[in-house]
Amino acid sequence: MRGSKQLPTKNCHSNLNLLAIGLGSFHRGDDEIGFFVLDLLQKKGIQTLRSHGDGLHLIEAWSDKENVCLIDALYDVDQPIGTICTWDLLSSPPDTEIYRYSTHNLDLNTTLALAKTLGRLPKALKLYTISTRSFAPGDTMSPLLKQKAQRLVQMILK
Amino acid sequence: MAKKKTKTKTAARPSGSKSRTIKVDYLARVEGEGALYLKMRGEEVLDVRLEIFEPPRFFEALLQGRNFSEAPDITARICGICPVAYQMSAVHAMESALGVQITPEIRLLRRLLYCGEWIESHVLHIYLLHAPDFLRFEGVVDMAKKFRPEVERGLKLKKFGNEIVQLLGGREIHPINVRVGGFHHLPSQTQFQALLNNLKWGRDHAIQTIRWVSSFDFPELHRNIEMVSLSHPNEYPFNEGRVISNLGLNIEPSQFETSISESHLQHSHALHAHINERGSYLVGPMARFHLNYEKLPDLVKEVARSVDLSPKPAVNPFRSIIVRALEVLFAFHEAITIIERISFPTPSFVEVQPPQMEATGFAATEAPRGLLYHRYKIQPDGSIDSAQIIPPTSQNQSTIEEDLKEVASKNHHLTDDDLTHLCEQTIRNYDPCISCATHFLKLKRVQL
Repeated sequence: MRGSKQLPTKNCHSNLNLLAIGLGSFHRGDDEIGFFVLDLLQKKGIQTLRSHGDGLHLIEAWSDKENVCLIDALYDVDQPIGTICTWDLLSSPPDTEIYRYSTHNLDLNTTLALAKTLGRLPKALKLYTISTRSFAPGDTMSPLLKQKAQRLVQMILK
Repeated sequence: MAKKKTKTKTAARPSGSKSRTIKVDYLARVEGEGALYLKMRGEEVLDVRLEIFEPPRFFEALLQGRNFSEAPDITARICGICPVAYQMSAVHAMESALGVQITPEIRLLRRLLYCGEWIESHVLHIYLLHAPDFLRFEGVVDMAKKFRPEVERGLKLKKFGNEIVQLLGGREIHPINVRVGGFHHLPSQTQFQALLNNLKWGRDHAIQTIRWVSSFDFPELHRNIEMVSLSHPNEYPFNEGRVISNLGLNIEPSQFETSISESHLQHSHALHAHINERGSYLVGPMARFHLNYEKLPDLVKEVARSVDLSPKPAVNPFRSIIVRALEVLFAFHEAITIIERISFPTPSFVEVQPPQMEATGFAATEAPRGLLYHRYKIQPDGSIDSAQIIPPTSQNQSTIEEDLKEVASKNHHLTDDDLTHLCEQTIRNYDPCISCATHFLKLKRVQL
């Protein structure tokens, strides 16, 4: 995703009953980071789910959960590569100015608005992002982000 | 990653001015990017152009030199909404070129996969994209505040379509389990039967969907238009049949390019298709329904009659939302029938070899939004020499422009905002997929 605003990094939910949802795609450089972090979390016994970002899929996945976190790469030219940001999506969703005209997906804010209207938000919903600029087709993930993934896992499990 | 874009609409036309311009940079709730240019003098529409400016995607060129077996996975990437349609037309064209006969079970399972895609695509369009037009909401989020049970029903129906594609296609979007000759792997009979309860729920609630959408107010529009679809002797068409029309077209898919031509117009990156010496035509649910009504199961015909829907020479494209809902009911009914009928175990595919000599294959199948034609020429080493793909939105472009011309003329008295909304709704009657056609609304209206 492409974003513009971040809140101070702070984790405030326990990993009890946590569902971690990784967003992204393979073979698109650092866009794979969400899936990579999932693999690390799965080894720690966390329930995980891969998603390509379809909003309806996210609503289905999280609507009966208490504690959910999303993990995604963030295209960000302002922050150093590897910067980890956290959003509490229930209180302060990112001001991303994202507007998708595709019917493939609802953008994140529309997804949150629809889920809220339908009463299908989890009790806790966090978004973790790692800043990068590498999304070239066919590229593999950068070593720096793999290294940062360990730090992100610690933050999620804290 | 999402793209950052802006959407703008011009202010309403000043009263009494000689010229008026309406501008909507991008049309929401259609797939892809384009614009509409409308030039009017009073009620006379002088020019209407559906401008598809999304760049060409060159899929036919991408296919050249690749092995024939790669076509289903490459063409599936043309569209996230109707990848199954691309896979189906591709595999049937390859099998036609290679002389492959699939088993009756594989044929049934391909119909089942298509059921899943029709449900996914039609329900998404009905509930999230088109219903807000009729109920005068900005989008589904606003609509959900007043129509929560209906939106919940739509999400559930779509989910059950997704389940079919997930199980048989390997994943919900861009399935990976389709191959020339069949499927890479087949789920067990138990896994298929586990879908039945949800599919039966879907069948019942598809009927509620039909009753709901048929209660909408429909703008007046009556079009006498040539309608084209596949026709099969015994079935409502998915994967095979002759290409027919209500004005006498009756050809094999291999004759498609001798009867139908494409031309490039300056204002669109998607080619416009027309029937030789006749002109524009319509593909999609309305055409399928009118040309194949007798092939629908009794249940679907009975529900259609109950909402006063039957094949007629003139159609109102705004009522396509009802036909789409009828096809959702058909797809649930058909999926249940297939799962209850198919026998297991069955081989998942038949072996396919490259051709002994250069070979050409043709196929047309029914994508959710209309007939989708593929042609491939394959070399003896199995590589694709050339490919031709004619998607439904390309075929509907001229008809959409004609609809817009009539709608704008009849409703010239409306404010710019209201006319813009009505024009967008007119375009959405076709559930256009510009990603496929090459990908869509900026409305510029000039009043002389």
